[in-house]
Amino acid sequence: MTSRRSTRNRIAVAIVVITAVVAVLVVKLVDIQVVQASSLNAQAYDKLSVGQTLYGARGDIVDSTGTVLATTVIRYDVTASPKDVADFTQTVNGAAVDVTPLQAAGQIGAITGQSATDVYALLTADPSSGYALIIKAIDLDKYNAIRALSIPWLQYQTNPQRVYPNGSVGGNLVGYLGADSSTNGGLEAKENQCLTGSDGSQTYEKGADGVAIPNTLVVDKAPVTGGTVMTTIDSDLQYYSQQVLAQQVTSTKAEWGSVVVEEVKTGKLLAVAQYPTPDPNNLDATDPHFWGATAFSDPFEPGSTFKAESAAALIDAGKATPATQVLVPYRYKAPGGSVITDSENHDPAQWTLTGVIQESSNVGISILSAMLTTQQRYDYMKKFHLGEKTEVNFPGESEGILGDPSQWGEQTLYNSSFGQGVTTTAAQIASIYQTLGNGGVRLPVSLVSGCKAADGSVSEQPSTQGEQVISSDAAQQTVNMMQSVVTGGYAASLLKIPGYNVAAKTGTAEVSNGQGAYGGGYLTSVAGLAPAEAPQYVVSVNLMKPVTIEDGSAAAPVFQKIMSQVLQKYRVLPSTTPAVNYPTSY
Amino acid sequence: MNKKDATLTSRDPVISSLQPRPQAVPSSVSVGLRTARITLAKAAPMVSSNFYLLLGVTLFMVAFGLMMVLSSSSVGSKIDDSSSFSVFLRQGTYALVGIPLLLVASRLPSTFWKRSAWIVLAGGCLLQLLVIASPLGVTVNGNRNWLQLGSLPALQPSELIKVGVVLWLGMFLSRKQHRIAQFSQALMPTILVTGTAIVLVAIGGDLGTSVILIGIVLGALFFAGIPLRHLALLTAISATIAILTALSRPNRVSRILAFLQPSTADYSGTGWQIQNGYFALGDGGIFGVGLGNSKAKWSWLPAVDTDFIFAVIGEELGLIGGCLVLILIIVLGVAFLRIIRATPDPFARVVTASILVWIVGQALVNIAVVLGMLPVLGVPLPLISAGGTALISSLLAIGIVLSLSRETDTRDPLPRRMPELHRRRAQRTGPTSRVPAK
Repeated sequence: MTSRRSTRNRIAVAIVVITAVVAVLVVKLVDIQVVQASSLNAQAYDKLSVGQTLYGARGDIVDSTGTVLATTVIRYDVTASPKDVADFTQTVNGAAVDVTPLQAAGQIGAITGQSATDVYALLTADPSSGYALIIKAIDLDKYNAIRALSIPWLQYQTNPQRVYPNGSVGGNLVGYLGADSSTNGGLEAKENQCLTGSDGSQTYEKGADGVAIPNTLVVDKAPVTGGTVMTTIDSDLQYYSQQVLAQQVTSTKAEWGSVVVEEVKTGKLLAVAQYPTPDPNNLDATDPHFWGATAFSDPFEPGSTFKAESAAALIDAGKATPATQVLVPYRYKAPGGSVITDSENHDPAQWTLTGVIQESSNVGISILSAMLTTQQRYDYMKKFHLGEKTEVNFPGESEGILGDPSQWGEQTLYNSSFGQGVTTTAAQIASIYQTLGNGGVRLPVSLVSGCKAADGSVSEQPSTQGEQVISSDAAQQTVNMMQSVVTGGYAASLLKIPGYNVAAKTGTAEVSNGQGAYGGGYLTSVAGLAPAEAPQYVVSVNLMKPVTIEDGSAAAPVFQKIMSQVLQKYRVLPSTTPAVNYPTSY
Repeated sequence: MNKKDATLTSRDPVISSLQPRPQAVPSSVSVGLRTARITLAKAAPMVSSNFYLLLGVTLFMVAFGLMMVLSSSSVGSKIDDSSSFSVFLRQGTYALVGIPLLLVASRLPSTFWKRSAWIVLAGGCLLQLLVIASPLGVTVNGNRNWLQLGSLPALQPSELIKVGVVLWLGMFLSRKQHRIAQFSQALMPTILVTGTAIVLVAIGGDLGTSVILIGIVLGALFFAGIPLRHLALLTAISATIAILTALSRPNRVSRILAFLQPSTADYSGTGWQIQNGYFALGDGGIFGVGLGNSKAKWSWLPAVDTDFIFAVIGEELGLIGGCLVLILIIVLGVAFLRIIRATPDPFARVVTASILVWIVGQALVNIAVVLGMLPVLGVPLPLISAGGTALISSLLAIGIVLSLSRETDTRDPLPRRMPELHRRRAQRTGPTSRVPAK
């Protein structure tokens, strides 16, 4: 007989059992959720978390108007896991289709331009491997097309790539990226610190199938995009200069040429063209010698364009005026025994200093320069910052060679007055003319106007502190003397620009053969300023060893075209005064 | 209903147990009685607080379960069916079937259940035979436990067997009340009949349900008043058989080994489920990561919306949510036990006790598995986990308890406040014997 007491006892037992079990479960639950929680969470985090690199893209290089010369784009590398390569299901028009690896290889190849067998060979080369590169650096369209194939054994990695949208325009300046930062070239090397971004990182937690779990993404470190290098270059002018130069180098069969355009009032380089010039997108198409900027890296004996420096020094020192008279023979035997001749035979001529400049007389400038001591002439050269790098400090930039004046030989003593026996870079020549055009105030040469960081702050702004190298009068008189070259020199017809007074000096320098003797061609050049009465722009053109024309006439058309373009482009008002016309003879 | 009434009613059984009171109604007059009851229900509900406690907790757990099923299944549903709601909507449909079934069941008389006991048990066993011996059976995760009939949703006949076993135990043991201590009269037939059903389930490979069924039998015998030595013997035999069965399949052996030596468990194999359940619970901490924010459900935790839904509850709702579920289980247990205490009817007592073991026992086993305190048995959390047949059968079982509770309560000498009514009813039914009429 079941008594109600028995039932009650058994109910009590049930209550005790249930309570005891629940108590044990609560204790265990507290143990897991409170006591062990942090260690469990650490283990789970190890298993769930996925770290990702956030690329801090390398900064851009832009011209003075913001046109991009170098930038970074995201490309994608496609890799496969050969050990997982197998058939899979693709949805085509809503129907599930079974796809074999070979068919998949064909689909990939159709997008990447590889053949199906090539891709299949990559997939099957090492079937035990977890990694096989299919293709590097494909663009977004191709990436999306391959993703759309939903091939489960493919993986994708972002691969930032450097591109140069304007190709060879300024390719000599922009430079290139090497395997590491020490093998970079040009501004890519010089401004590496500004351009380099810093990579960030983020972590998310994944589901067992690799899906990112919502709300688990944490950016551990934000990426910082590299700074933008702002150059002073005008890419349109740079392009034009390169075109004109290329044409002339080609037609005169010169070895190479360079053009430097500098703004007189700022010292900014507006164009630094060269031919041949590299396309950083395809560097190998160009001789490695020209991968850099020859205007900075390749010094040469400047020849007659250097006479402007000598004349300016004479006038500034008070040893001569534009009207100073000198009797100039064709052949002059100096007191020290060295012999100087002019380029063309002529009877002894009664020239003024202006005439010496116009006729580009080596003898005339040698005789007059002798009025200064060697040390004085050297000091003027140093004041024009010759024999040292420009402020640009371009990678591979040369200082040029002045040598020790006390060691100058008898010949160099005179030769140096007409630009032989010393070497300068094209940038240094342009800087001399900038000084002359700017009332004797030399401004630092600048190619980079600043580094604009991702936050908008600008650093590395160049100094604009000028130096008075020669007096304002001496400078203007030197410019005025050079107007006679354009109005009456041998290349006058090639140099004239209608509507503007132009001051220029041609040059035809003998080129050293590298064994202490001259021979085998000339460096022909023109350097000049416009408008002559208030100079704003310097254009300096140098052609190395032209064959069809061997004097300044080879460089003159390039100067004329580029200077015309500059005056037009920057809307320089035409000259309203006639050209200064100092007497050239007496 | 009025609160004061409920309080009074709930206290009544204690008082009434001290005095004689009207007893079970002969079946011949039950129709008339039911008519009277319906009339009375309009004036003053004749059901106790136990009824509403059980009904309320059940409905709350079903609603809570639906919410957690939606949360835990959303990712898996999206992957499998491209809709985050597919499992939830299916489960909601089952709830919409199960809850009316519960309400209807709660209105049926005990005689109905007694009469249907053999039919339900036999029906369940027949369907289970189809599962294990016909091509209609479907194997999921190594367990042949599902019956696929045409385009109908797959059924688990083992859940119907639970209902059948419960009813049969109630019917049989209440009939054998006076010979309960006689081995051959009570225990022997019980072992034979229920053992057959359990073996059928075990052949299908569902060890978890088999264990729960054994628990149901033991619980029923316990509350039927079987001598404890018989119970101890049966427990020992059952345990031996269970262990032998467990060791008969390699996947179970590895599960048990993983349980016994967690450190040697293959991280990506057998220990995976428990380990990821732990990660989920640890992630939840005290306050939880918030509803919907579980990480474990992102394909990490197998059976995340069924056997391991408690891990997601612990993750999203924290220790607080986990304890809430345990409290709900206790409240459920208390409701069952109060009904057992309130009823003088051995059928009601045995059936309620069986269902107590089923629902509360299975819930505790499920949670113990998630907490790594039992080997992975593969039983879902009743009323909460996703699973159609299981939900419907649980609701049906609770509906049966509600019907028995309602019957007990209406026989209670409620109308002390309404002496006239009481007298009238007493006159109509007349004094009857204690033992239900055969």
